Amino acid sequence: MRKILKADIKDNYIIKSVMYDGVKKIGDPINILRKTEKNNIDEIFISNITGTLYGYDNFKKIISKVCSKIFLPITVGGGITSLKDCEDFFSLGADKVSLNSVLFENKRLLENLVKNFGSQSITVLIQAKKINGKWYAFKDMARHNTKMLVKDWVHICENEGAGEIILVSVDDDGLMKGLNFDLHLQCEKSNIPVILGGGFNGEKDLTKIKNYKSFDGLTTSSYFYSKYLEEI
Amino acid sequence: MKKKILLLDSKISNIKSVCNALDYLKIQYSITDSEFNAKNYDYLILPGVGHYGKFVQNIKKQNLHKSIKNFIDSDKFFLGICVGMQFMFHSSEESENNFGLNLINERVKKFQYSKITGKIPLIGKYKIKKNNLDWSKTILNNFNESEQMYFLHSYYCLADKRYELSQTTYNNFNFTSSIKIGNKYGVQFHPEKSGMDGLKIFENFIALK
Repeated sequence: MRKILKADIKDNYIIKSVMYDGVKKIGDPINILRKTEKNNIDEIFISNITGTLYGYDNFKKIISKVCSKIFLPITVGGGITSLKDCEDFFSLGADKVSLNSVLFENKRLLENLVKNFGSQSITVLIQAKKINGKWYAFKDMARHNTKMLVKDWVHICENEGAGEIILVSVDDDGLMKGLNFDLHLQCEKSNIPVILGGGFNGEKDLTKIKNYKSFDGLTTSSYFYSKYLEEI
Repeated sequence: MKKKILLLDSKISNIKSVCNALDYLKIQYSITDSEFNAKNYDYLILPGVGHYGKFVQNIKKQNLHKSIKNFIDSDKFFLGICVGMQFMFHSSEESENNFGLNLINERVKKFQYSKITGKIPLIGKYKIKKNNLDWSKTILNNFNESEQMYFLHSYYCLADKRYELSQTTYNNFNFTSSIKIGNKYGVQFHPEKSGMDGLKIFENFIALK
């Protein structure tokens, strides 16, 4: 079961929000990410949530530094919209890129990126919210409903060559009340790896998730910060 | 005498990650993406990520094929990583008409859903286990089978026990995770992405005599 730390970066810091809302400063990226390997984390997903151009350049500097000091697989996401963006991050040492919002605007992008870089380096992030009993894919930091059913979106992305999917339950994010295993029905037919996120609360979830064939890994943020950092 | 290490850039690899690992270990190396004089180097590292066919095409296009062959024919130390290891075999089901070095006369094959009960590609950390070969004085020197290496691949190799340095199991399916043919090594996993244990692979490789 792959355990991935999902770290959101704003300006120079790792931050954490709750249900994709608000910003709480956690600390210096290198100091925090240094603690991953020894504390049961297999991979890192670093997401840029600074929307500005300055923020983007700054984020690249952080990625470069992380890749030179941390020897775990690194997925980079947050505002990636082009082939060039991907090239930039791969040349800095990132292993995979993650996309979400842009895929709803640019319908050919996913296929194009897969063709250029290979499925193994392209991840799709799905921000999932349950509305009236159905799971929908959201975009733009979970602010806008794309009206696409998660089930359908998983299928489309897999067909277009995505290497894996990170499926996050928006309403469970940051609460540490347990992963939302309901989502397993949205991806049970998937033949590519699916990583579940949002609400991870420790050993109990680690045991439970193994009962679901749908999931190949999980992400954690708040739980990791609360358990392994001295002062939150 | 100073060891001369060369890292090959096939332009289809995560070359920066390997550079980062070597830099971190304070290992000095040269890097090239085109033909080189095999006589000038003692250690050669060939990383590869992605499509086998594209990798082989690039090796040809960049005039690396002959130089690599010359190096291989000498008794010096070689390390192929991921597709770099698959390149040491005859060919791959991933791409017909693109041939490898044929140091092991076997084909690289695709994982089949009918044989494994897991997703493809195989992604994650898995243990590497001994087969017939002793690990001392190899790239796995001082490893004790508890280490977990990071894998990401859809195609796998099966080497004869003469060459299989380690074996790995994915959902009841066994495949070759590393090979040793004299001084030539191949690893299917990514030592540059396997934490501190992975970095030991590079240290052991450079320590080979």
